[in-house]
Amino acid sequence: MRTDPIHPVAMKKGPREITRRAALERLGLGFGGMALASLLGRTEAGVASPIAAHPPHFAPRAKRVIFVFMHGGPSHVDTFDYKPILERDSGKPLPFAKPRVQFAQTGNLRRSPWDFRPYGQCGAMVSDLFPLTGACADDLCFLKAVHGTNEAHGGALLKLHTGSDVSVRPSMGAWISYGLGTENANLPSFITINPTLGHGGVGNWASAFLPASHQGTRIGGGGTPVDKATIAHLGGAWDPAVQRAQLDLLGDLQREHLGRVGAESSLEARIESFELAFRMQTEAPDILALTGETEATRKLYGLDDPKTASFARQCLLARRFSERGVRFVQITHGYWDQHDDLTKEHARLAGEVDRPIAGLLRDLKARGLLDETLVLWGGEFGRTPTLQGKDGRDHHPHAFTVWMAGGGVKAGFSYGATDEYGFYGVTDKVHVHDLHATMLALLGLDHERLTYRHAGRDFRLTDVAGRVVREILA
Amino acid sequence: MKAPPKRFVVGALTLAAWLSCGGGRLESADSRDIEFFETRIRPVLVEHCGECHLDGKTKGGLRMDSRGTILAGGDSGTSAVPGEPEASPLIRAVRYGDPDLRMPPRHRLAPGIVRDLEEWVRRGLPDPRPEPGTATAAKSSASIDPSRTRQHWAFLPLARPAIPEGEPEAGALDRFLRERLLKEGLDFSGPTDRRTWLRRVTQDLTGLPATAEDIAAFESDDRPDAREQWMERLLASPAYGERWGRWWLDVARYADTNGQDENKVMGNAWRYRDWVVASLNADMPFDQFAREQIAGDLFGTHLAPGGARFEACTATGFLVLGPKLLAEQDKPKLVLDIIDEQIDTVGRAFLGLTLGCARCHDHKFDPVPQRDYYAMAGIFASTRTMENLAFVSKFNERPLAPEPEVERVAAHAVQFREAMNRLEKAEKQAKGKDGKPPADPTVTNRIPALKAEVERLKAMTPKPLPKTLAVSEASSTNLPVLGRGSHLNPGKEPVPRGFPTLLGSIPVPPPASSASGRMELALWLTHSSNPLTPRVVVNRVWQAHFGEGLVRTPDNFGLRGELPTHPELLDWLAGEFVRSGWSLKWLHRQIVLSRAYGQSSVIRTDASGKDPDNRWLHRYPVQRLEAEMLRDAILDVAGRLDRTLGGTVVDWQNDEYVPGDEAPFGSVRRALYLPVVRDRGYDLFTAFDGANSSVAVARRSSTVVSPQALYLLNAPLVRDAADRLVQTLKEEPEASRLRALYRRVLGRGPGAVETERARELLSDARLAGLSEVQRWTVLAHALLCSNEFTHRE
Repeated sequence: MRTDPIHPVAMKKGPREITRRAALERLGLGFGGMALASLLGRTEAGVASPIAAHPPHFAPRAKRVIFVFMHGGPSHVDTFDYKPILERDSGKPLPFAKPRVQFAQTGNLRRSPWDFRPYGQCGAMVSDLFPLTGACADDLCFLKAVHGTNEAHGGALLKLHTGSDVSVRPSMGAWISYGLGTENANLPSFITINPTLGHGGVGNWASAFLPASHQGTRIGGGGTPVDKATIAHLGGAWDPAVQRAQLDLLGDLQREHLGRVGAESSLEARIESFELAFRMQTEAPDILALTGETEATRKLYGLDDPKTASFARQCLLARRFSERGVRFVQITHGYWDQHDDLTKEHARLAGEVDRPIAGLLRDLKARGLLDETLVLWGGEFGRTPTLQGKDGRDHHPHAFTVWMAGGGVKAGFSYGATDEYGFYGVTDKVHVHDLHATMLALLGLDHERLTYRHAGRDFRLTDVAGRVVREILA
Repeated sequence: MKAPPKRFVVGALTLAAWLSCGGGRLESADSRDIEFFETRIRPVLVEHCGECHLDGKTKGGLRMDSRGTILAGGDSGTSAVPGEPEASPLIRAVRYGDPDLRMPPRHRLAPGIVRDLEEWVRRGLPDPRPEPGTATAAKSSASIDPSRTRQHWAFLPLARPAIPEGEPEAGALDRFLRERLLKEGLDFSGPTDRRTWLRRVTQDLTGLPATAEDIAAFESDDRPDAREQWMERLLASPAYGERWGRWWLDVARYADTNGQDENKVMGNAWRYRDWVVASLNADMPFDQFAREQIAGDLFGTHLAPGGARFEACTATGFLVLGPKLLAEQDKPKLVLDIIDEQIDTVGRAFLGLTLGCARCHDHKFDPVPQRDYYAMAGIFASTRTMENLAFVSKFNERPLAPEPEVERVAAHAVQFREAMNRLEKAEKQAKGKDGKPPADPTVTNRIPALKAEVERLKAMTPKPLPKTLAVSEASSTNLPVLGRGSHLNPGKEPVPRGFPTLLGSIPVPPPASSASGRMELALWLTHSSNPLTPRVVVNRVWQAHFGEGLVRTPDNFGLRGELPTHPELLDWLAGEFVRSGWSLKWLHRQIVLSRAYGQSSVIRTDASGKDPDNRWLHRYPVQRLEAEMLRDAILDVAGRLDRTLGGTVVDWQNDEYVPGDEAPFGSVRRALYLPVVRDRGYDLFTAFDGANSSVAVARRSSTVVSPQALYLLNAPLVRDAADRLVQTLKEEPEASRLRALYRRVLGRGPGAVETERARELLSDARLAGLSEVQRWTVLAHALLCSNEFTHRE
């Protein structure tokens, strides 16, 4: 049993003190305070809630993660990895061997249809697909030679999200929830908005062998419009007043039952879980409704433009959940899988996300949240510098760009490089395991010590690999 | 997804061919250098140089199969100078700067590879491969001492412990438990009341709640063997197989879809599920149950006497059910990953061992050398699990029909195709070429007859034969040990197919050279001198009854697993279980009729200090209903549960992608029959710790989190059940309605406090806007959320 260093007295109060009207009164305190969180993070019986906040292994640089996931695989050589030689040699064959395993055959080198220009003090070259994100370049830290291992979507998604494309493993959000718990027990510790249900589906936000409380809570996805998306079963059976009366009755019956069977801690915890659910039901709809956001903020994200509104909403929700203490928020946009029609479709897709992403970065910065929030942008792989079909590029896990912002990484910085065509990483390559190790390190977690004993073995997010990319730490 | 369709020949031969290129054993050397060589250099040598310079090939006089041969060089002198890339012809060649010396000749290597080769030369060409002519290096790792670890309790033969002294009426099981309790200064709790016992055992054996009528009948049953009679009734119910079928399906990682990258429908998986249910209902001996899942097609034994041999292959669906990365384009790797999944599942399910750990290296804790892994891998490599290795590969299925019928259908298909070919050919000829009339003018006249033949055959097309998920035999092959588990690092010598060596010699013949070896593996798993299989299954059954096993790590009986709390009891039960003919129902009888099982669950303040985790079973442990039981109970008390047995509830096409965005979970059949869709969790199951259908689940967690409360408070399933429950009570007079409601949900009438609180709620001002029926529904809904309803006490 753990004692609460902040509210040792409150911990000793009887069940009725923390439930019912008392809880309703506490709602007036608002969100996010650590004291409140730790108070609510465990139950009266002294059974720590499985998602109660725990201290990290060492001083963290970031408290939370927002993962901006580009499903389908945006082309690195058309966005953030500028390759003048690729432009020069467009149409010529790749002068070295292609990988042993390829998803499909591709042809000769193909230049980017977009121009690149320098942005900010750092002069990062960004294509005309991302002018507004480019304008934030001085806050970004590019990893230019990230590589995975799987050339198909499903395997690559699972690798990126769980570290394994072979076995069923917990997703990174679940590991982080397990490692750090939540800052706000009224909300889940890990939320994924609009995820794809294919390509690993639930596996990409599942807890696998970690306790189920660490699995991601899904909001939308599977074709649900983002403005209709919500957390499953968040109210709806009865009016709140009726449900309150129902819960009061239930609580009394439960305690009466407990008097008969004895103080079984799991039964006591369950009584409390109904109160927590009721509080979540009160808080979460407000967050989802974007209550209290100004016109200016909505515009900043692009909520006023039908083209950007959907992803703008995801970005704004990410900030709202994140600032209320949700440890890991993932938002998903797709489908960046241009085996053909790259010129038209990449332009359309980038047009949907550029303003919202820039809005998120600027908003986090303006609110002083960027320093403690790690923003991570990337797809499951990049795309071949060589041409597929008339106007396409194939899957390319061998080298692609991921960028980070905030959360203790160097700003206006670029790490690693691909060869002159953007085909293979040549210097400072970062494997997906390294990316995971680095993300955990930024959160104050040692990827070699964040383990879980399952079936006789201690498992890690990084399996037996992973190197913290210290070079990018601010 | 666009990509050229590629067809691969499936089977062991191709795999063996993939694996046939060179390799060797590790010698001691600086481990970082070795790591560098193994990860960066060896694959490059194999892929880009092997064709001309490995495996005895010496183009230009150069061999590259060891450091010595590389330094010795070829016709034009040495190929590398250790530490000096600039002076090394090898490096000059791969840089492609010298037009007269370019290697590999047909393509330039990627810049990263060139850099790696430079680094390798700079490091002095570290290379662990043995020099030709020298004795092969000693075995790489000696992290475990086999002779010591074989003394681990779980690997020793079953003991035959003496049954402790005890009261004459006490059974052996209770005597073992009580001996330990007394040693700890504890004793059993008193017996629970009859209502609770019947609720407990009904839930436990059938997965369904006991009805109020049954409880009343049992309470007034004064036969001396009333408990036994009621237990037998439950064991004989088909619901028994449904509940315990689900128990096994957790271990079998049962699902109706592939999940992973390509979520395709395994449209015949349900036949395996029904086979499991039927086998358990028939109390098929567990050894047979195990054997058929490994090699039912080869034994030809089967459930129903008089049934046909072909049905027995359904059980081998067990080997096909695993999740597979179907679009993995590295097909040799896909094949090896599938084999790995099979070994891992078989190891966990039957042996409680983590054999999968030995794919890349000798097992770190248990005496499972990598060689043992590849001995078993050869068995599965000689087994056909995939129908093809196409771009998106397809799992294997077999027709469910007698051989002559299969042949008849196949013959018809050939006939039809030939007729079609003749017709198409004639039509093409009749059209002529480039506007010229056909060479043979009579061809046009033949077309009607050919058309009629096609039509005639089409009309005779036999109904497609039902299929079942199953493996078949492939050509036999032995696999070499693969360095780090990768087919790019094969060892030189194939390992003969065989079984793990950690149990010592079990008198089972080695795999026949002409067969996969599955039959021998099945015999080995269930041989009377294999102590692991009975220990593991007895422990699983115990865990399902008591919440925790006698070994609390049910899928790890290895050195890292927990020790049994009651080792003598475990061995006594395992031994008697085998002597009972591996009868699971025998085991249930021992447990359910025991004093330990029948005791009260009420917390005892005198005992909880000495036994906080209830390891010594001083009381019956309260357990939350598993997800399926909870759902079925909710539907059942509302009178909605459809008790139809078997079959499938979805009409999906086999091998198609799961259609739609949400899977159909609306059926009111028992939860067992809901489709198990690997990447679409059913929200109730997800919330209530349902089994992850992608891995063998030995033990479900039982968490308490608020999404569970959200589900119970708001899910339409629960609200709807409350509505219907109240509908069924409408006829009840007001005075007895509360009692009727309590009896339906909890199998008892309300107490005084409960009656009082119910009355308060029904007149609560906050419910003023609701009709009377709705107010009763609020109340009924609250009871469905209560701990007493959602737990087994």
